[in-house]
Amino acid sequence: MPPTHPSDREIVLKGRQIYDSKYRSGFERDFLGQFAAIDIVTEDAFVDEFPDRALAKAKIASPSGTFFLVRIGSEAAFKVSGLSHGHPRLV
Amino acid sequence: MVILGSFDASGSPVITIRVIGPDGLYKDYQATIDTGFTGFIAMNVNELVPLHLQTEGATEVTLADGSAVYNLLALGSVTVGGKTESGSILLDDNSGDVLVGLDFLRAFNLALIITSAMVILYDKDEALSVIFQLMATEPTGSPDTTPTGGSTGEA
Repeated sequence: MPPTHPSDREIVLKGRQIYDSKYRSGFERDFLGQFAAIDIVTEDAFVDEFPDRALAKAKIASPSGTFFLVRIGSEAAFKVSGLSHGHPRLV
Repeated sequence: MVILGSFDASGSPVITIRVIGPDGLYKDYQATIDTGFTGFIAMNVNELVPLHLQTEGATEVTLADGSAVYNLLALGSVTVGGKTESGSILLDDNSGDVLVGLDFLRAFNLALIITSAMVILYDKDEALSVIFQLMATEPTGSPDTTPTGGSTGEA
């Protein structure tokens, strides 16, 4: 039976649980505004000023890992205007 | 580097970008310039297939109304104006649009000028005289919203 991949929701919920319990307080003190990529299996975290670099660092450490990305100090990693994202345009 | 964009049928500023997957497969898109988007690129999750993108994980995205959505994440490259940069790609279940955001402008060191009829992206280090010269040719009237096509291939 092929391995099942976790959904985006499962990754975020697991990652946030790890972030809240292990990293949030320290990271918000030391790395506010930067990005953290958290391996949801090993629970290791990788921080960088840029989101792609945080992910790239995490991928080097765990090439087949699955990562939760968060902006330190924010609930979400990114903001979108919302007009065109998640709300398809009518034609 | 000066990149001329255009306006789509809804009047949103758009540019043509080439997104390149890890295997070198690429596809050209008309991308909306969304200054309310803080990331690099966002596109529909179905684009994973033609580009052979690999999901690296997921993240939470806040919409303007304060609600949140979960998006998968991939790493990929984008070429525009002869320059290629890498970044994180947000993959959304619902959106049919390709968006480029503030991280995209930062990665390419681009500044943005939008007038009633022109969309100009230019290297922040570019001499402004070149930009002003270009703007002197600005057409009058409504923006041209003629649709532009896309293409796929292998880099």
